[in-house]
Amino acid sequence: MSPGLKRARNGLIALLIAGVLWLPCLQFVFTRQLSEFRQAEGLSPQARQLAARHLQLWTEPALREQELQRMRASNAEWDFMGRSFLVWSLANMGLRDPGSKALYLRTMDGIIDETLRLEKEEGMCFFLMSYAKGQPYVMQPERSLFLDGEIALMLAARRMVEEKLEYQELLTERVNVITVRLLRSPHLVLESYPDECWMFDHCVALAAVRMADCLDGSDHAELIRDWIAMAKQKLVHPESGLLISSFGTDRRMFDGPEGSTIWMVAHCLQVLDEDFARDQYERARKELGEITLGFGYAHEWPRSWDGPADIDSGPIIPFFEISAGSSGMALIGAAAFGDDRFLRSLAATLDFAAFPSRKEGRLKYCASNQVGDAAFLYAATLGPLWHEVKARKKS
Amino acid sequence: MRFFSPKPVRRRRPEFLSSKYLLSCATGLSVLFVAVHLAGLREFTSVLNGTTGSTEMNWESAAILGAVYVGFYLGFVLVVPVLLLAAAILEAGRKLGTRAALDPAAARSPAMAGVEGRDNFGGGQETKFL
Repeated sequence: MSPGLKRARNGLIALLIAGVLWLPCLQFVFTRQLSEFRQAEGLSPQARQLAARHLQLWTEPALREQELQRMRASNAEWDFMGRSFLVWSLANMGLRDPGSKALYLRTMDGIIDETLRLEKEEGMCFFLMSYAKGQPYVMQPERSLFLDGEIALMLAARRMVEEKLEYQELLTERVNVITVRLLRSPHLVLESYPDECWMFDHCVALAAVRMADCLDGSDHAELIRDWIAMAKQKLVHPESGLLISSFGTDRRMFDGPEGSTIWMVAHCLQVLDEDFARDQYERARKELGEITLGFGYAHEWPRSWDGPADIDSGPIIPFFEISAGSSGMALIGAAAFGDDRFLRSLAATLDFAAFPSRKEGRLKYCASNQVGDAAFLYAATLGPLWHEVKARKKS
Repeated sequence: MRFFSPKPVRRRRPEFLSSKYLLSCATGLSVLFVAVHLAGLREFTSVLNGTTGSTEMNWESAAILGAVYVGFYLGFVLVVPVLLLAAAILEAGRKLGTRAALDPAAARSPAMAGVEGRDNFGGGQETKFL
């Protein structure tokens, strides 16, 4: 063998050995103490930094406008969901950090008031994707459970931190719309888009109804029980045992179980049916969650369902089948169910692949956007609000 | 006294897959990553969630800049350490080979079986067994 060939052989062997040595070590560069991301009490450093960035967006209109413009160019829903996740996060932060409660409440009120104003002035389609206008809704007058549920949960979360009488009527009104229409629906399901119903929106809406019951003494326990029973019977994907993500008004399945939906669904079920919630989380963890070389991620679809990459899943990285949307939402699932190992590995992936950018104590993830960062903030802070709901329900 | 050489000295290019070659690749990749990072291309990685990095630029250009950043970032965190480790392994192998050449007892040991007099670890030095 010529010296050149021997050198090349040795070089390749050295590269191979180096690769085998380095890849398992990469996680140690990005894995941090879990308390950096999320703490049982108080606020973690990352939660404070993420919150500082969001609070800046709501105090500097020009910056917010620029961020919203970028998101709305892709999906108007993200503008709305960014608001919802931020309000829910701030509610949890208000309960975790009473010293800053006044600031959080002021910001929550600002977001809620602006959202309600936009809904009133621009109509519900302002926060929906364009196909909402493509055909009439089956149930008239047309409403989107996506908006009603998330707005109701925003109002309820704010009132859980501190009562605001002005919002009491607004919440009751919104909850009445949801419950009356659910009972009117022949199959106990409501549309978010024309003839298109989403599991995510139903679970968020029912969590808001549960919170309203705790706040105002109303009782929708029977409706919630009936809906869960119906969902277990009619809206479960038989192969995986997971709740499906979208369906028609006649309950025919559109999309099977979806990562970007199921983690939040399992979290909302925690205040509706705790055992079912745990069952759904464990199934999702088994079917969708992965940890490879210390990095956590999630698939969008279980092996038993063949679905495409879409606006919810984000781009899917081939071979590993990593979905950005599902992996981000998995942080919420792992945090909600105390799955510390998975949560730590997901946080490591966030630092590795979401390109954190820190400036003057503010954190944003460049590969994410405002709604993604707000969901991460929610994962880092969730807990006290649901704890409060459960405590009030018992009392 | 002359401060400058009359003829420019041509630096020898490191031999392919030698430790110096790997080091120069690692340096090149690191410099490129630092350059794209300082140029602010990290912002354009928002293409990964379907959001444009800048509202003042068209979608395709923003996506290309985002992809360029991701490529160099992966090069920096995945490839550069591998290149450095491989260079260190080659260098260690070269030193071991040289020592074995100077110490025949070590050269006859089973661990050194197959090591020949010429250095093939990329150090560019030729050693002779005594």
